[in-house]
Amino acid sequence: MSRRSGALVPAGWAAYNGLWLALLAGLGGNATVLWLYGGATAIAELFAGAVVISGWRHPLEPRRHLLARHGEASLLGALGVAFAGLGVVFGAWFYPMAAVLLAFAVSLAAMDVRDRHRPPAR
Amino acid sequence: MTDVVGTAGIDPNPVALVDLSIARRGLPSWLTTTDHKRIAILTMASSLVFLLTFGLMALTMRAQLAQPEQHLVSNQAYDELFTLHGSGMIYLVLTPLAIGMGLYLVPLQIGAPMVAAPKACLWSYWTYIFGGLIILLSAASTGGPDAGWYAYTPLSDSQNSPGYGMDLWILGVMLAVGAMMVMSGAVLWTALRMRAPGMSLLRMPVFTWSEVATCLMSVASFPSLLGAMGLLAVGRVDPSLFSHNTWNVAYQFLFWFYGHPVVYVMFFPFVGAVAEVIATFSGRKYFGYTFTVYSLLAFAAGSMAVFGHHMFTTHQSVNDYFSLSSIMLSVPAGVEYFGLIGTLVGGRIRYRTPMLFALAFIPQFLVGGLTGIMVATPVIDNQVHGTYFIVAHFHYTLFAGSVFGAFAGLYFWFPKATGVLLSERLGRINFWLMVIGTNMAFLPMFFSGFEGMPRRVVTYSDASGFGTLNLVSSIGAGILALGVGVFVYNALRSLILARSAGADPWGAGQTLEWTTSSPPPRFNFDGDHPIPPIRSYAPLLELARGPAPRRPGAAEEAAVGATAWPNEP
Amino acid sequence: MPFRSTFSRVFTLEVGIAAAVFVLVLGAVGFAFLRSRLRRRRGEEPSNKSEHTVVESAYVVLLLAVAGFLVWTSLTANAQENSASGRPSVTVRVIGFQWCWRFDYPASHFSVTGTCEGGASGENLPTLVLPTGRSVAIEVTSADVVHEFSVPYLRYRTEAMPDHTNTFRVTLTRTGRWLGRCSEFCGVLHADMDFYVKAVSPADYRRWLESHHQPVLS
Repeated sequence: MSRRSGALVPAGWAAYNGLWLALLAGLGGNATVLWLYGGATAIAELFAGAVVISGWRHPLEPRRHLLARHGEASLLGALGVAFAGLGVVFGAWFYPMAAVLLAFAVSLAAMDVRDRHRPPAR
Repeated sequence: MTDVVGTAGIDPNPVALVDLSIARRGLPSWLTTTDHKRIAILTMASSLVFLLTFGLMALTMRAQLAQPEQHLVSNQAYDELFTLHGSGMIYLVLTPLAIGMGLYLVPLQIGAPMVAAPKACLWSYWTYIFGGLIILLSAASTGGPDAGWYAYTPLSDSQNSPGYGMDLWILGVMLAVGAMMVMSGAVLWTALRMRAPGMSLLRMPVFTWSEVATCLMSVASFPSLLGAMGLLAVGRVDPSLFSHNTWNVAYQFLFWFYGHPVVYVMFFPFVGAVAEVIATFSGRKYFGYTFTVYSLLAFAAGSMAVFGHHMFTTHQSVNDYFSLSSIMLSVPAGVEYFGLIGTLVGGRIRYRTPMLFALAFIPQFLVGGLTGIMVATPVIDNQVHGTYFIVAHFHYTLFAGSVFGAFAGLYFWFPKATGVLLSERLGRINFWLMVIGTNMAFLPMFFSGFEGMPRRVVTYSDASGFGTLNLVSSIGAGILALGVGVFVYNALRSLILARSAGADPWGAGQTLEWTTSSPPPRFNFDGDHPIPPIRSYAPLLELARGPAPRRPGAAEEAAVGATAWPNEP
Repeated sequence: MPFRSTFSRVFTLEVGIAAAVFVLVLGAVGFAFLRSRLRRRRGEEPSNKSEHTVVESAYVVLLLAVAGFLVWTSLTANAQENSASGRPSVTVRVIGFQWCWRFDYPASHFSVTGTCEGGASGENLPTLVLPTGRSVAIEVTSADVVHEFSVPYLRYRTEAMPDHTNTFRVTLTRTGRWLGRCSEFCGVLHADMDFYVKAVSPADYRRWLESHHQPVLS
């Protein structure tokens, strides 16, 4: 029971936010604030939906995460994202570096995904 | 070399937990770790380094303001100082500290061997670090960020704040906030999906619940800041955008839709920490658990509905609604206080360092909370908006409240995370310096603000009469800094002396993290440190009190709980 | 001018409630300390109660009542502050700019400004002259970035935003001169953006108007 109920938390929380949202609409909130608040509520509901779907697909949730081998992927990925951002500020020559870093990071992470369901022999 | 759990012979799961990381020792093993505890320690340690950095900036500002009509720093430098102090403390210190504490403790408290999405958490850590470095870099470049931490348009556009500094600042803020959004998503997912057998939702410790509420807010509200920063970036390409009132107001709404919940992101985990500390050092179960849990969730939801109260004096917000929603937050806050005090009343109190910080949190945050009701009243905000009254109010919530809660948590869990004991004597010196410094620094600001001293002024005239109040504040800030210095000394000294803490240095741990070793093994619990049966939100206390089944069926649950993780039926 | 009286009524009330709550909480914590000491002396175990639903529910109801009362106070006071109606007898336009203020008197076709350099210690601060006893409409806007028109004596302030005008009504009851400030950060000389509000008798006000003959600047 306990793992299924997890989704209730974000779902119920978002629903309670819906009450405040309705009151905001009632007291004269304009379109900007209603979209803003509505959007955030929707994000929380989407999170709840993801938890539900994950529960169907992987009743034994933690097994999916047993092999997180390539931590380097995270470091390179973060550097890649930062470089991409610096590209927006300073111009194009940061982009190829970001692309290389991100490609490298994604392929390392993909190796972990590939190995995820293999027995952890080493 | 490989750590394996589930060796107790009761693990039906064919996949054992194995750490196959490429880098296994030394610095590389830390920098590429996928162990939630190490990522969390990196996050919290980094946030403390940033605390010192941005704290020094605050001291510089207090020196500048100590006397009227002083010019120790230029106007431009002062503007950059408060922009960096505010954005640094919020984006790079308290938010990461709050979520990092959850990253460390949530898996331990719910009996999970790891965090969900460890690589994403590590990515968050590095993205946060790069964001922080870029924010610091922005100050060193031409036209450093000087528009305040909320960077209102059009002041922050490319006409009024030209140069790369502001662009870099936007990038740094987006990276740091985006990173924390991802990390909090992982912590939330862990709490919802990876609880050990027997750990039902309403057996999660109060701290874990406070993290759940926190992460809900950050997942739902942080995207809004990315939107605000995106809008600002577009407006820096085309400054004509912010000659339209619509976009200026839209920016403010987008900003505060993040900007208010983040205040509670920086607060809830530390309330959770205070709750755990008070329960532990009162030697009893936390009182009012169910009410507290629901009030945390209601509080978190309500805090999403109060963003417009920062904009009362724009008269383009919905003042009645936002006054109503803001004042109603006092209801869940009051319920939490009832729990804290109720726990104390029935307890046998031990005054150790974490407890001292937790006890100081109660009246100090209360000052912040009660003045919060005042500023949530438009007719009062019409007098104090944009003044030092606001500065005093949020420093009471964020420093006298949150940071004291954070210090309670840091003193409480430091031995768990490092395996070594902190000095109790230095802890007390730290505590008293911080109490005196905090109240000296921030209490006078209520009075200068009430008299109309605006925020963010580089200086003030002699005739204004703000001189004495500011001098007291500045001296207080110095004492406060001394207190933080004692903490740093205490922590470093303890790591060198390395007095072993043992599994439960306080001798009264109530939640699962205190059963395992200090520091815990790679996967938190193993054959030597199995997860005990979980029959309540204070499983260790039940264990200590002996096996007294409180309800029919408790015996079977205990049997289920006795098996090691993971064995989901 | 309802701002001062409304403010002091609501502020006094909220400070009173806050003080009572603060004392109550300190009292409860102090009581807990004493109980704990007694418990230790008698060798009693701490309580093992985790919930007291009746007390807690009653407490929530009490909190709701107090919060509801505060909300009602806030909303009615807000409505009262914004209740001015009818035609104003004087309309002035306040324009904030980096880094000073300009006050336009549209009906009389002139405007006044000054120099803000040096802030409150400056010699030539802009002064907003208003008559006492008359309902004045003050329209606040900005020529560039967001400023805030704040006069602590009035207990009122409003943001000065570009491309938008905020209007409020005030009736001054006594003559005098009070310092006003910019209260929204607006750039390097934010600290200097001080000004005066000067209330004079209607007769003096008329004389003052007549002494100005400059054409309106924009």
